[in-house]
Order: sequence, then structure tokens, then C-alpha cells
Amino acid sequence: MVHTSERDYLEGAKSFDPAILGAIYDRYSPGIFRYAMRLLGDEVYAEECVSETFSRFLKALSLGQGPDSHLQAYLYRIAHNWITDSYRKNGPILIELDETFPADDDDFPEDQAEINLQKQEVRRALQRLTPDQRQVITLRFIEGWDNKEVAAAVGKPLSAVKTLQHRGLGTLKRILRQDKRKQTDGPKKKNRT
Amino acid sequence: MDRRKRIEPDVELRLFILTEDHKRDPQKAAAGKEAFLTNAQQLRREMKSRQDKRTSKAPVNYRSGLAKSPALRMMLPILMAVALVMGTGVVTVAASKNSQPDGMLYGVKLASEDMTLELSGDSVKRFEFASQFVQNRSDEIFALIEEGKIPSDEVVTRYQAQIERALKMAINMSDDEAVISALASLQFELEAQKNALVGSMFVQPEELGVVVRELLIMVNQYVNVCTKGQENLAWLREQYQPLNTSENTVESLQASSTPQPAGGNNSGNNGNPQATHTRTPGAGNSQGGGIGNTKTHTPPAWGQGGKDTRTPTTTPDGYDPTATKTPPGQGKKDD
Repeated sequence: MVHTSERDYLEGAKSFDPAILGAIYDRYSPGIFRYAMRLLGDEVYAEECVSETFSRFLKALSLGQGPDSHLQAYLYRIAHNWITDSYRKNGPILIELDETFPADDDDFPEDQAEINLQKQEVRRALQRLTPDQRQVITLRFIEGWDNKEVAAAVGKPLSAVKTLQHRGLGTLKRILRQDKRKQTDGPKKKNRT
Repeated sequence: MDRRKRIEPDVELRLFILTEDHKRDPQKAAAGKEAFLTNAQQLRREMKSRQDKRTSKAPVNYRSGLAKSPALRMMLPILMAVALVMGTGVVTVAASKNSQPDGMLYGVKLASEDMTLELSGDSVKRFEFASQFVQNRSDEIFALIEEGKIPSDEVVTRYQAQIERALKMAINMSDDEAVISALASLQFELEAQKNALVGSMFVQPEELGVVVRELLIMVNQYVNVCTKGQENLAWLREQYQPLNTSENTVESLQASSTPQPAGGNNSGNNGNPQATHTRTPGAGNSQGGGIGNTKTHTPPAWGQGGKDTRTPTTTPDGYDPTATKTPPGQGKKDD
């Protein structure tokens, strides 16, 4: 069912059918935005990522190219590479706490700040993975895709995806532990001096 | 969840913190969609207008004005021979070697190329020269691109016709092995030209970039023809009738007319027999945008402009819209 629908999307997109293109945007842009927000943590960047992803998609179509299948995976790959470029160009994105967590009556501000800090740590840790490892880990464990879908997005065989996943998780664990150690060591040193 | 069994709880928890659902501002989403659809509309118009422009234009004569008249065409070999005998002729022909399409001596350059082919004895030599002339046309186009000038339809069509002539020369080889070898050689050359075009894909102004991208699609189509031709010579011969011995020059190609396959959309193109030989990559069945005379026939096998069958990201034309733009050296290496 979904497959047929995707085929319709792809055929319509290649003929620049506005209704189909609009439907594609409605269907996939929220996910791309969410994906970008999770990795970048910044709404402006996430909007830019969505815009650039769909712009590149159109450019490919205008050249008679674009995907023959796996449209969602194709779009996520564009988005992922845009995010990778953004990391390289801009370095880690530091977000003002107030902007990210507007005051909410139900939460304690200190809890929000703590959650926000933890998110930043995880994002920074993910940035230190290779682009492919990051994409695999993100799609698999944050977006909840299965291995086949991830393989389509990464453009690699299943076995390679599993290897990337294994190594990525190992590296991520190491980085997060190091960060934790630094955090706990930091105040102690201060106390000694 | 099953997929998380292999993750250590700590790492899982840390990743889980990012799974918060971020809702998009509806106004920004609507604005984004509008911009996307406007962009799509513009691109569609741009593609359509370029196709219409090429369709509505009178067929472009492959040759310069020097060889337009039938009488001149007949006399050309004699005139060229006389010119070659005379010292001034030699100087003129030598001086014309580097002339560009808008140059005074460009007609002499084309005529001397035809003469060279005319005087070449065997089919291998003729193909080599034809192949070299494809390179000449490509060089002329790149000279224009470097100057930021948009190659005219005539220049583009001449390039396309030159490729077609080289293809036909390849088919004219004595045996199948020689044909395949010639096709491989032409493919190699075209691939180099394609790669150079990829490097200029996003050249400014935008209109020039559009032409470059269309050229890229066209060249890629011919690369595909060479590839497929090496695998299936019968198919290639069906698409491209071998030249008669008297059809070695572009002039003779212009003078002759190959009957079009049934169902071809080539009717009424009397002014430019060369164009009747010309398959139009990207036109016809193709989605590829197309360069050249859209009245010409597109072999069915050319279909979708050389789309990639690999999933889902890279494209055969060398353009990968999903690719990162940052030089690789700046990033981490993947496992």
C-alpha cells in the first residue's frame, strides 16, 4: 500500500505535478524537520535544513534524476548531509537555554536546564561520530527505523549498516563516559585548589 | 524494543532524551511549502521554456555559412585543395585552428576538419579524426563557459552532431572488435567531458548553469549509448545507420537523409538533414530536459535520461544532490 503510494509520488514528482509535490512536502517535511531539530536543536537551522532538502530534491528532478524508490530515505539522506555540512562549517551549535526551553508551568526550570544540557552533550557526542555512524545511530535509535530502511538511507548494504551501528555505539558510549568523567572530575579539582 | 536490546541502558537513555517530538510552527511550515511549490513551478517553467525555445527555432544548420550553398559544398574540396596549395591557404588554415565559433576563421576551421576526414584513407583514421573533432567542439564550449558566455543553440547542436558523426564513424569500422574498441574510446572521451561539465554545473549566471546541466544530461546519454552499444552492437546499428563511403563529411550528412523509424516525430524537418540524424537525448520519452532539436528521434532505450538504478541517492550523471558540499578532507573518515 505504502509502496504504491510512494511510486505515485515519484511519478508525479518527476512530472512536477504540483498536487503531488505538495503532498510529498506535507508527508515528509514534518519528519525532516523533527530529525533536524533533534540533531541541531535549533529551529532556524532545522527550517533551513528542510528548505534545502526539498530544494535539492527539486533540482535533482529537474535534471531528470532523483530517486526511483525509497523517497523518504532519499530525503533523509539529503537532510543528513546538509546537517553534516552544517557541523563542519559552523562547529557545534550552542543554544541559549532560554530559547530552547521556554518556561513551562509544569516543569521546574532547573530540571529543564539539566535536560537541555544532557541533550547538548548527546548532540556533541553524536557530532564526534563519523557521518555514516551518526546517520545510522540517529535513524535507528532516535528515529526508530529498522535496519533495511537505514541501509536504504545510507546507501550501504545491511552488513555495513550493522558494522557502522556497532562501532558507532561503541564510540558513543566511550565519548559519553569520558564526558561524564570530565564533569565529575571538574568540580573536585576546583575544590582542591 | 527489540532493536534496542543491544544497546547499553545508559546509552539508550542518553539517546532517548533526543526523541522528543518537535512540532513545527504551522505558519513556517506553510511558508516553506509555498516556497517549495513556487520553486517547483519556476523550475518546471524553465525546463518547458527551454524545450519550447528549441522546438520553435528553425533547424540549426550544422555548418557555417561557407558551406551552406550546394554549389559551394560541391566546390569546397577543390577550393580547399587550391587554398592548401597556395601558401596563404596553409597560413589561413593553421590560423583557424584555434578560432572560436564567433571567430572570423571558424568556417575555415570546420571546412578544414571536413577536408581532413575526406582525405583520410581508412576508417580507423577517420574515426580518430572525428573523435578529435568532438574534443574540439567540447573545447569550444568550455572556452565559452570559462568566459561566462552561454553557448548558443548552434554551438550545442554542432557539438551533438559531431558526437553523432563520431558514433557513425565507429559503426563504420571494418569488424565488430574494432567497433567496440572505437566505442570504448569515444566513451572514455565523453566521460572526461562529462566530468568537466559536472565541475561547471553550478556556474554563474544561472542561465549558463542551466545550459551546462542540459549539456551534462546530453553527454551522459551518449555515454550510455556507447556503453549499451558495446554490449549490443545490433541495437546500435539499428539506431545509427552506418555511413556510406560518400558520407564521411558533415556536408554529406547534411545532404543525405536517413529515413526515421516508424513513429518518429521528425516530420517536416527538411531544412536540416543533419538534424534528422540527430537523436535527442532528454527529449522524446525522456524526462531529461533535452538539448537539441526536439523534432528529432529519441531511441526508446534512452528513456529516463540515464537514471540511477541504485538506491537511493547517487545519480549516474555525476550529480548527487544528496552529497555534502564541504571538501572531504575537512570531515571525518567513515568506517
